[in-house]
Amino acid sequence: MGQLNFAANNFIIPNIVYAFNNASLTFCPLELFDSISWATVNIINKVAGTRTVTKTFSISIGLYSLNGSSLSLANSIFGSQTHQYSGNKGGYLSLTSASATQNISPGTWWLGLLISSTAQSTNLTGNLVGQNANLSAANAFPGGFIGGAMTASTNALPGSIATSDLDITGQDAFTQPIIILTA
Amino acid sequence: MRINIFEAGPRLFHNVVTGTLLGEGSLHILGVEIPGSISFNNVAMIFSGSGAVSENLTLSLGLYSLNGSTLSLANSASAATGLTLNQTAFSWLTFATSATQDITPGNWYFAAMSSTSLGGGFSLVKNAGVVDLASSAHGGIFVRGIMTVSTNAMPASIATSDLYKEGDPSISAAIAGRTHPYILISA
Repeated sequence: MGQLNFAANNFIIPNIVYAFNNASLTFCPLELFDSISWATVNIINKVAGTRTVTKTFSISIGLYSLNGSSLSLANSIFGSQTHQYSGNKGGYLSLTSASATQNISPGTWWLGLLISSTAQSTNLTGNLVGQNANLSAANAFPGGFIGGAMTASTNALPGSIATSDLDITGQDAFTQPIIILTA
Repeated sequence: MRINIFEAGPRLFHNVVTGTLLGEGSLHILGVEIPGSISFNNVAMIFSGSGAVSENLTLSLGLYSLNGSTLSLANSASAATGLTLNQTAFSWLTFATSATQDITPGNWYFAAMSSTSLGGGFSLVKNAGVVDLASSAHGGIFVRGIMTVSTNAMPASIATSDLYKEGDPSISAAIAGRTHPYILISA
């Protein structure tokens, strides 16, 4: 078993942005072939709008394992970053404040993304870059859990959550921002 | 574990576009995670051309590993062809590798560079790149970005401090700097 220096859920990055669920929790899978330390998590954001704007993103990402039908919090990482955008600009948000040192073992993990940003009401929406647009199944995926979202607002990562409590239809089940873990 | 196919990005990705790379001498560097062993033998990209002009096209591809803060060239491949760019469809462009190698599982870096000599244009299938991704670079070790110092060959080693990480405001002007070609390796 090897040790990775970086891992990503996709190495091809599209020019697709979507509005994240502000102050709500979205789960997406992370498949690891080898181990990697839980040190830095990068996601990409972009602001829609043409004016110069300063936005502050408050981000918590939970690392969850799935046991049966329950997601259990194994670790988390936090960050609050302020970026100034001169219209339509985007950049990486890099989180480095892990709650605990951990070498993540290979397998399927789940990332719970809890993001809120300022200025959501000024038509300068904060977006994530990834896959979401135009993918919206009316019914639930018939197999195991592939992703979903909490429908209620939350301000903290839950220690555990039942997948039955998540919305797994529509875009929520497909939402998958580009995520790059780096050592 | 052995794998027979590795793609730097899935074929079915619906936001793949075509376009040029940065100009001659600039390296597009893409870090990837290869899940199993595969021979670095049949390497290909997909290109198209237009304009019915004669062109000498060269594409170079380097396979690098990261040791500390230095990328070291492990292997390279090139494709050079003189052709008339009047294709109405995409074509595979296959590479000749410089040495036999079995790529071991783990992290590797592809460095791609293109050149033309007669002024004709061609396009590669690649990712779209995020328009105006130029406010902040990714954190941690180098994963993806470009080298803008001009070179006419794959460097034997590259200090990551000489590279621009993707998202770096210094390379904000060039969308091409945030794109990477589709690469297929098959056993």
